Amino acid sequence: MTYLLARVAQALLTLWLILTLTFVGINLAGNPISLLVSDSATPQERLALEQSLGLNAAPLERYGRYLIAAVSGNLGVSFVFDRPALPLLLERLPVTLLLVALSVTLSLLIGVPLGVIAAARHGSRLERAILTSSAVAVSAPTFFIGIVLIFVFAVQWRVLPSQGASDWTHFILPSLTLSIPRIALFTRYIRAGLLEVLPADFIRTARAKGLPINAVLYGHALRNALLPLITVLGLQLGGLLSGTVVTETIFALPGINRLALEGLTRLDYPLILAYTLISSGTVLSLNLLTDALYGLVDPRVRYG
Amino acid sequence: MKAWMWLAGIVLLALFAPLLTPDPRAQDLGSALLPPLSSFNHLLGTDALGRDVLSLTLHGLRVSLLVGITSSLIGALIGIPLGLLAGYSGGLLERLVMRAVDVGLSLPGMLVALVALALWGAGTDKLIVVLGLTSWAGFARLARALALSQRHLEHVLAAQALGAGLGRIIARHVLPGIAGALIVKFTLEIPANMLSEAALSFLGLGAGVDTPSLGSSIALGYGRLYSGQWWLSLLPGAALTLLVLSVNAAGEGLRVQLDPR
Repeated sequence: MTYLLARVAQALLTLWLILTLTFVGINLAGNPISLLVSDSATPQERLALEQSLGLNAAPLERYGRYLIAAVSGNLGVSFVFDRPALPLLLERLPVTLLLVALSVTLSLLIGVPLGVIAAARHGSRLERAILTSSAVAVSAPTFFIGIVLIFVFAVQWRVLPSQGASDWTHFILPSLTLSIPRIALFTRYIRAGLLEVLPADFIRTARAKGLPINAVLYGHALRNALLPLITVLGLQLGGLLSGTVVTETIFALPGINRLALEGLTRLDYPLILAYTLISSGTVLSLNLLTDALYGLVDPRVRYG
Repeated sequence: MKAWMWLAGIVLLALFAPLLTPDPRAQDLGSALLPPLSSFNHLLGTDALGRDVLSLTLHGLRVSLLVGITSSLIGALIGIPLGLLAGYSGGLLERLVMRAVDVGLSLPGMLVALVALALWGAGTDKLIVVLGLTSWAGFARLARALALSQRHLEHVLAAQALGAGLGRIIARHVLPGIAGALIVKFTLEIPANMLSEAALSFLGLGAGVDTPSLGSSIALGYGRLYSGQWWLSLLPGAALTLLVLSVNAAGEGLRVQLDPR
């Protein structure tokens, strides 16, 4: 328990550091006012806009207001879209979350059995085939996988849609795009983990007492290969949340990252702040969850 | 071994790209959108501005290699000394470094790079710095863990007892035992940074507009996928995949030799 509390405190400290870094970065980047006013605006008009957006205060004062805004969740109105930043982003969150959830589910459902098969048939031609294709899948850039899928399924065969999110079929290609490298990754981790435990005594015992091979593989051995997978899964989920930006762009999905990208390029402070809070908050909570899960799967961690 | 030969081939092609192919920026609207193998002068076809796709691809490989290697080098040069120092000397320094590493690792690299490049503007030099700064934490964590494993070895203790300085002990007695694992990490960081470079350039936030990056070539060509000009995006994409695959495979090969664990 104290272990988890310490981790929570660490996570909050990290969040504060991230927010501070974002503030410094934004302020180093220059004044967004020049992007917001038209070229023909008079100096008076500039000043008025600066004042209404609170951009003319001293840096320390703005830092204070910025932190208060972050804590209270009242993150201000997006300069570009003229709407409160947090609800604006949260509205787009379901699309991204659905995409991430579908991809992770798909990756696990395919990746784990493939890894088990590869390990069970260690040395076979099947294992080599699985390993080779996973090496290619890990090396291909996400957007290239997406483009190949679009070319095959949307341009050549015309069986699946590739743009927008009007119904569930629109999610097939994007989630496949995101899953393919992760299927490969999970396959490798599961295979490596299994190969490490398969020579162990308890596996031989399980086999010797007459358990079917699949019961031994999935029941006994897999549990021991899960620990590295949980770490990878946590990191992947965090990476996926912002990593979907490319996929959202290719498939024109109205997710949170595409919106954030637009806000980012136009120095939309409130939007950047809201986006940083949402994504780093999610990543940090996922890291915490990973640590907690570790304790559940491997009792040694709890007492370590 | 095979991976190294592939890699050597690709690197040679990239190195000699300016001699082998015309200027990738040279436009020729008279011969725009030629399909591959239709003209001897443009083996892989041309894009909408009549630029040679082979030339764009080979020059793009140069950008990938340059960004991938230099940014990983920056990450290694910051992360490894910090990690070694933290792992070897322990105490307050170790706690500070590891807290910074925690922050670095919990920041999603893609997000940081996006924010930084959006704020500072695109450009190859900025891209290299940003990717280097997002990869130092991984190096530091590994270097610290490895240094911890060496700290209590007898030859290190002996050097300590003989009064060797901190720098000398780390460089002469700690580093040699763990260099293999660090080299492997470095090799595998390169393809990761190449992929980030391509993704950022694809989004228009990577290498500048004038730089023939594979990511920006693919982004330009992607719009023409639906009108049948598949070579504009699929060929540079395949080239990038091949490059990343061969560096990955070479790195795995190194791991088997240098870091047998």
